[in-house]
Amino acid sequence: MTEAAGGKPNTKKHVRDALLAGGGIILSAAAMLWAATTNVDRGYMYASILIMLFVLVPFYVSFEKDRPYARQIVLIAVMVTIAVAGRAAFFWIPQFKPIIAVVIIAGVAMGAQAGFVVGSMSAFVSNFIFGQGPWTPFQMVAWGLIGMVAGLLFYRKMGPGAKAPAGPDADRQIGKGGLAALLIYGAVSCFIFHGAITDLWTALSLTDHPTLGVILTVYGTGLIADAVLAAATVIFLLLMARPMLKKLDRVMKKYGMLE
Amino acid sequence: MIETAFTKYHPVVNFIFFITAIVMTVVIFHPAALAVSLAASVASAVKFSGKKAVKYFFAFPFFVMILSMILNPLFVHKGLTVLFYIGESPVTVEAFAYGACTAMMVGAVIMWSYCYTQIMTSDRFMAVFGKIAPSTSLVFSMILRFLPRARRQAGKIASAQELLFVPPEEVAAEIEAGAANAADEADGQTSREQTKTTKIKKGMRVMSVLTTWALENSIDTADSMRARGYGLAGRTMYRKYRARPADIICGSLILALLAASVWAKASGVWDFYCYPEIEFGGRPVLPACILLAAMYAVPLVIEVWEDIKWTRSLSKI
Amino acid sequence: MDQITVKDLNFTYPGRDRKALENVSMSIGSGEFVCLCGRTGSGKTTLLRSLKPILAPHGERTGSIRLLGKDMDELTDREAAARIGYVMQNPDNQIVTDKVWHELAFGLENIGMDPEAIRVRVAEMATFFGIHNWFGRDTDSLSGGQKQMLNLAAVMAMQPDVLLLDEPTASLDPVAAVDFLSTVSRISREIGTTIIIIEHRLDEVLPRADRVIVMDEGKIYADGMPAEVGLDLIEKEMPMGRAMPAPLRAYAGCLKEAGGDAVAADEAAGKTLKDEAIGDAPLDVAAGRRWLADAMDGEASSSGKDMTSQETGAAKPGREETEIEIKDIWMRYERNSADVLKGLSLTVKKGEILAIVGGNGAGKSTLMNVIAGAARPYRGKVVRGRRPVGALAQNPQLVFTEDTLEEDLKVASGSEEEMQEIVKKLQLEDLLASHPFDLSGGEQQRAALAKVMLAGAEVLLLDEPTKGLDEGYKEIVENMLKEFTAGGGTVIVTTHDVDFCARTAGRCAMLFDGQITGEGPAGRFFRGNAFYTTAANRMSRGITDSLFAEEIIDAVSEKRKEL
Repeated sequence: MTEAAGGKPNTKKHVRDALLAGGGIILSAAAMLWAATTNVDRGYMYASILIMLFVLVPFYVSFEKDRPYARQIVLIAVMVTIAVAGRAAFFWIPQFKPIIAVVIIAGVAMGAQAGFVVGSMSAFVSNFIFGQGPWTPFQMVAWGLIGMVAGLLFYRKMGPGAKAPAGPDADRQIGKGGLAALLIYGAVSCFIFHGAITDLWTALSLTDHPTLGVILTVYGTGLIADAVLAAATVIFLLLMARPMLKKLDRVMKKYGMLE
Repeated sequence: MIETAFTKYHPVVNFIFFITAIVMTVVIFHPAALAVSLAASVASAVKFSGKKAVKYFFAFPFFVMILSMILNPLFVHKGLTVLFYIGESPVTVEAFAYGACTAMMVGAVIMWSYCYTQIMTSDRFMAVFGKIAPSTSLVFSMILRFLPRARRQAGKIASAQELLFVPPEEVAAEIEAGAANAADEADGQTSREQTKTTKIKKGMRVMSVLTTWALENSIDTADSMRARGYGLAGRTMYRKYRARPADIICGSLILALLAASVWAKASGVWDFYCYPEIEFGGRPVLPACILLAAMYAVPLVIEVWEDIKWTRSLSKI
Repeated sequence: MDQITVKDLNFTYPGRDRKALENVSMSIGSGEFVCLCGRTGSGKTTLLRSLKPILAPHGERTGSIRLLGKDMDELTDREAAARIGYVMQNPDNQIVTDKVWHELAFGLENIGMDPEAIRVRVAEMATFFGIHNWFGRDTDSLSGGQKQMLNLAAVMAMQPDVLLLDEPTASLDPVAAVDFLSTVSRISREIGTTIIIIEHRLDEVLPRADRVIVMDEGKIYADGMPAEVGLDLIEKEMPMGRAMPAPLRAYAGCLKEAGGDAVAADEAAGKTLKDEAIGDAPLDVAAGRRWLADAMDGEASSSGKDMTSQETGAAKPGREETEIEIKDIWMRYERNSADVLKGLSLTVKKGEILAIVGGNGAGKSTLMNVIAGAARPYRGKVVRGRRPVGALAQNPQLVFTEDTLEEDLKVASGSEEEMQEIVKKLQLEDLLASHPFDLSGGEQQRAALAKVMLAGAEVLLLDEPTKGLDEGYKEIVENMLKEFTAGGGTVIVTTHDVDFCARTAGRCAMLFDGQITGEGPAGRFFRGNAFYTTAANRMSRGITDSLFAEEIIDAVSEKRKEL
């Protein structure tokens, strides 16, 4: 029995996930264009809601359609749990949240679709604990995209079953270059996906025609928090990306997901 | 989690109400409509969870509302009625009005979300989405199952690792600290001074063990699922909640009131523009406003009605 | 009709040379209650899992397995899921969903049962298993015993014909374990489900089982009635014999001592020794008492002679140094919560093994945390010597950090030699290359013990150190601890294992409701208890007042000599 998603890199699925993402981006761009040109009142807010649906719905529909196996379901649930519970491991340092790093690692190890589900579920569940709000869907999209893009960028090269690099790093899944790329992606994703999407869309819903001033103010107020999050993500990825991927690799082998 | 009269209705009814309330709050951008929504959302929240809701309101949405009221006039300089200038930028009445409306909208949406959180507990949420998205809702249920366990485990790992070897200096330090603070401290946790680096290192170790533990034990969970037939074709859903006639009546009522409000919005009753000048649609708002208020007040009415019935039945005893 | 027929089953795990199962043949009839036992690594779990198609281990298999009258491969997935139930060891890992009601319904949903029918079935199950009172609760809020009961109910909801249980009580405390096992035997009696159970608590299972199958090194060593098999194992001095219930061991021992005379007498009566012996053999305390009273002619122990002198390994009273002194401590976890420890005082002497016993929630773990310095009482005083302390948590999985056991032990240990020595003592040599999480529960327990001993503490705090260990390894651990204290170390253990306490501990202290309610040298402590004591003591109370089966044997043979 082969288990496709979350197991051995599967070209068909990879292409489909890329198409889903691409389709979402095109539709999102169209929505933004509509918002910029329409004279409907509060066009940007409607557009942002549409974009949220364009991204969330296709991924969850494809996830449901795949009828995931018990092992995939359990693995996704475990990764979300680790992402959210990870805070408890660093309770001495309240600002230190490993959640984005874990989402990225999940995307790398399990692919774009699982990465999206882990990311968006992490957002949903942490909001479930701390209280849902209108920001929940936006955060789901932001974190989902972080996991998904991690999957699209790194899954085939560093995911389980991928060839280990030659040389001194041969016993590891990721070489030095790979790790550097992962760290850069971690930092960037905190500012772009997390910062921009959650904060910017807050700004969009607060005023009718978001001027640069509003955007910069809202983004600016979030900047310090984003920087702390990015630092935590980079430190965590630096120290934990390799061992965690190794652990995932081992369990997926035990599960027979790589056969 | 609370048990109220509104939770006696089917989760689908609850869900329809909250989605309707939030969507209508976002769509009908009119001071009267927004004021009604904000008032109803705060009143419902208070009815559902009492003082906690008041505390929440002043701890969070209140500030967002103020922020929104300040932010809009500061950055948006449209509008004809200038109040004063900051530097060269005009601050207008219209921008203030718009900001106030946005504030009410944001406040109402946050408070409706708060009510949603109180009513839509995990199993009610699952009752709505279990059928549409079985895999997703199972993942959700499993996360809720794993999460408290993993958090506790993180604490246990940290202390188990610390205590594997406690060197004599620390034992001694503990004794002295213990002697000094024993009388006034009741928290029971150690508070050894540590640098940030060692703290992070310790956290990483806990995280590493936690990951191994969670992943390795998950194999059992997957086995347990498969042993009980997960993955067979034709999975059904156990319905904890059954639809009663009252649910159908209540659901239809909400949808009818929604339809009425959508019609009112489409026909321009709720037209309202801030820029360049504040301008209302010109048609009487009151009837539409009553319909809208009736929609927002559905849970409140249900709660109050239940209270009355309860007092009456008590007086009969 | 036979429900399970295994014929010449051979099984080898991938990459291993040794067969995990070798020429295993057995057939189990409908409604039988079979106990499968054997030492760690004897292939019990491999055999049990082979009987549940979806959990059957991957590897090289020959021979045939017929289940429910069909060849295993002919069984549809649906039949295999619903008609063969499987309960695993860890109560927590098996629970899938967050609500009790959902967990009960989970299997029924999977096999596509009609929602209305599920409603009826779930209600029925909840009532049968006494779950209806916590039906609406979060699964996370349940105790270990309740969780395992829920797992059993969730499997039974699918109304299987065969129920397979793999050490279901290994992580439960004795009270919950007995509760669970009586429910299993109730299922057997009232529903007639065929049951195969792997269990270490033979005291509890054997009296209830119809049949016992003993495995040794991948082969079936014995298969028959519990008393018959038990007597045989003891007679042949098989390691498994030591795990048999105390009454049976005492009985078998006396039979052996009696030797020739009894045989001659029985032959005169026209019976063979074996038949009668099996018929009389006591499996539980009640039967044991009847037999012992008979053997001693109903005579109550008049002597009581060695009641005080016969302290097993007790520290001699005298002027020893104090390791830790706890004076009137009060402890709570949160400002507004209830007190966990309520004016507790306790003295630990240097070089002793002190056992702290008591039920769940009595405050044992809290006391251990206080002693280790991880929790601080808000009132009272803890005076400690300046010796390093090492504590081992109840769950051994908490302490492993590395990817192989060898690396893991290296992290903890000072010198290579020391490590080799401990590894050898605890017989961990073959496991060094394994991932700590690939080890079985008992192996993990030993590995964790090695780790804490290597860390170099002179005062050891051990929480349930014998959990999951079979009799042979228990003895190794006991000797190690005795050696450790002989070398000047101090050991404090909390445990539910009464026999382990009675054999190993110098002193026992009973913790109840946040206070020490009883304390004393182990021998006197247990002889003074009526319920909380060894099975041998319960069986011989008022007759020989012995603590162990061996003492009963001695007493009986002495009595015979007198006659």
